[in-house]
Amino acid sequence: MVILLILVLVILVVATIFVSALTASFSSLEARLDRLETGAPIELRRNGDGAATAVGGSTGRAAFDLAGHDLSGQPRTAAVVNVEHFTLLAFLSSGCSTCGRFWSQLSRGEEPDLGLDTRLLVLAKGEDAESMTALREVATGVDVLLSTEAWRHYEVPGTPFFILVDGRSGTVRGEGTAMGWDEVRNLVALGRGDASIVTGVSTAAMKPTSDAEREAIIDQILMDAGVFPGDASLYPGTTPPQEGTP
Amino acid sequence: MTATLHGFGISATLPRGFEGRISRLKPVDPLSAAAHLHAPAVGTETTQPFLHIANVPLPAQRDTFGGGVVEMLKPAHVFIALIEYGPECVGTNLFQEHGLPRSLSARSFSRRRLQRIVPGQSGSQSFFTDHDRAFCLYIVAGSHGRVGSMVHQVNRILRSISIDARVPT
Repeated sequence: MVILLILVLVILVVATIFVSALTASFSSLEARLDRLETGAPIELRRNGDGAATAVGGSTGRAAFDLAGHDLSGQPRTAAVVNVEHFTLLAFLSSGCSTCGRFWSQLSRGEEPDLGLDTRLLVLAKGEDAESMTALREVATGVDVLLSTEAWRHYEVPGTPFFILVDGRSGTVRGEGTAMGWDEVRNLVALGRGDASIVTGVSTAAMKPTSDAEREAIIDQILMDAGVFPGDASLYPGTTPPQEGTP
Repeated sequence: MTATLHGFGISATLPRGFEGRISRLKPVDPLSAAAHLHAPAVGTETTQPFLHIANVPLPAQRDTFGGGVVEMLKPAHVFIALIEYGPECVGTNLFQEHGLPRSLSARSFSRRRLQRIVPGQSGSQSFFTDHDRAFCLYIVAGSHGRVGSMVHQVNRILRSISIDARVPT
C-alpha cells in the first residue's frame, strides 16, 4: 500500500513537471506569435541570393546613394556605394512610438557601437511627408538626412527600419525592424558575419589568418541558425559568460 | 548613379563614392533682442554658404576649412571646399581672378598650401570672383604623393559645379 502511494506520488510529480514545462513552452510560443502579430519583432535578414524578404525588397539588391536635406533645410548627399565602409541606414519617424527610444538616445549623443567601419546614417522623410515641427522636437542634435525618395528607393515598409549596406559591393546585406540598439547590432553582426560587434571582443588580431577566417565562418553559420553570442545553447551545463569577462 | 547637390545658388554633381553638403553657419548676434532696442544700428552677423565635397563621410560639425574632416583623410581621399566671402570682397585684389578654376594640375598642390598642416597631406587654394560672388576654392588631398592620380577626378567635380548670381539673404 505504501509502495503504491509512493508510486502515485512520483507519477503526480512527474506529471506536474511535464505540464509546467508544456505551459511554459506554450507561453513562449504565444508571446512570439503576439510579437509577430503586432509587427514589433526584429526581422533579421542576411545577404542571400536575392531572396525576397518578408518586409520589403530583397537582400543582395543594389543600394543607392542618398540626397536630401538636413533639419535646417540645407542640402546634403550621402555616399553609401563605392565606399570602403558599411552604412547602417536607420529610417525613423517622429510619430512612431518605438522610434522614440532611438531618437532620445541619439539626441543624448548615445550612438550604438556598430564596429569601426560601419557608419550610422539616420533618415527621416522630407517635409512633404513628415511634420518638421515634431521632427525637430524629437531629433534635437541628431544629424538627420531628410529624403522621402530614399524611403521609396529602399522600399521601407514602416518605422523603425534598418538597412545595412555594404559600400564595397554596393548591395543591401541585411534589413529589418528592431526594438532597441541591441537588436540592431545583431542585425549588423548578422549582415557582416562579425560576432565581435555583439561581443565587443575581436580575436582576429591574435590569431593566424586561417584561424580567424575559420572562426568567422563558424560565427556566420551559427548566426544564420539564429545562435548569437551568449546563447545558452553554446554553454551546455554551464552559465554563459557575462559581457566583459575574459 | 550620381547625386546632385543644389542650394544657395551653388550646385554640383558628385561622382560615386563622393558626398557633399552645402551649409551656412547661423549668424552670431552680439546683442540680445532687448539690447538691440537701445542700439538699433548694431546689426547681426551675415554669414555666407560653403560647399563641402569629399570621399569620406561628412559630419554635421565641420569647420569651414575642413576641420573635423581632414583629420580622417587617408591617402586615397580628397576634400573640396568652396567657401563664399561677403559681397564687400568682390573686386578686391585677393579675389581678382574670374571664374571657378576647372582644370587644376598636380603643381597646384603643395604641402605648404594647407590651412592646417597635416603630415603627408597636400593642399591647393584659389581665390576668385564668379557671378559677382567672391569665393575661395580649398582642396586637401590625403596624400601629396597621390595628387597626380586624383587631380583628374577633382577636375571632373570642379567642372560639374555651377554658381548662380547671389541669392538674397
